[in-house]
Amino acid sequence: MRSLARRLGAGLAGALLSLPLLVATAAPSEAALISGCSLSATRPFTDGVTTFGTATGSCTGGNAYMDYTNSRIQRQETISWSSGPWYYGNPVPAQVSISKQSQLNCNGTGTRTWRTNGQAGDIYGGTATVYTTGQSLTC
Amino acid sequence: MRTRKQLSKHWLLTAVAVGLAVSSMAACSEGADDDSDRPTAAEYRQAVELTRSCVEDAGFSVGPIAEAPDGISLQFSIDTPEGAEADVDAAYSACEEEHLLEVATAYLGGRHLTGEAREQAMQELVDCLENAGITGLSVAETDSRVFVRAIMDYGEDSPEASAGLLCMDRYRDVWPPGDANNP
Repeated sequence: MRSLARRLGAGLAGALLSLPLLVATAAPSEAALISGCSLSATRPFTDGVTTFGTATGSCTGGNAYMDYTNSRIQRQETISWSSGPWYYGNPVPAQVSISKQSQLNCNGTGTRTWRTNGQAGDIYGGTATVYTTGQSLTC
Repeated sequence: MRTRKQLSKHWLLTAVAVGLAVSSMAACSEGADDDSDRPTAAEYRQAVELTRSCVEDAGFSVGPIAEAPDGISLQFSIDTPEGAEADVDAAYSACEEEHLLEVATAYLGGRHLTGEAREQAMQELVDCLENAGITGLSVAETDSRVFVRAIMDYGEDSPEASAGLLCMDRYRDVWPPGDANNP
């Protein structure tokens, strides 16, 4: 799985950079983002033919480092949401704020409701997901 | 039976009352459109809290509710174990549909500044974009798509585009009714 491969690769770089921190904090893997890190996303916008959204993972504090941020666009259907592809941010361990934009063709869809879905991981293996409120857009 | 003096006083008071009402309506339309059917901020927050609790009840840990980059909507993150992405998506979507979507649409949708309030916010938007490195956009523009195109011309994930979309998110209500990004 891509995220696992990414995590293994990024994890090595992250571990080298932060081994002392890992020992000090002993943050559990596959848990919440470490304290001091957060994830947010902007409601989508359109230029009339494409819908754009941005997710941003941010960290503040000595031991808090974001590893990657991904985002994708989702469109409301009758009883569910359809998803565009994930836009994966390259892992860049130890950065404090990482934004990733995503887009999806909306040409000819008229007025529909869209949202941005963001995902972020810290260097300790914590992963989180966020959704914006649905935004009505006319394409 | 009312005297002529009493009738005059009555009509004067009525005229003053009508004048105040018209003046008040004009003041309202100067800043923003009619908000009488809009849920309150407290009602919107309650709907977000119910959605958060619903996701928690579905078995996922959730973060605190925080203000989104637009400065008005609220968001919370969901801890996502490896391989649980689809389950998180299904849980959030179901909870959002049950508790939030209708309230959020009514609370956040259809916000349109007018008059001086719009002019001031439009200037702030253009200033925000210029600070992000995006120049050449006019405060007289009434089509948000022109701004979005100009921002995205800087390239996906460019610092200008990231900062520019954040500016747009903060000032969505400057665009008039029927606009592509603020219908």
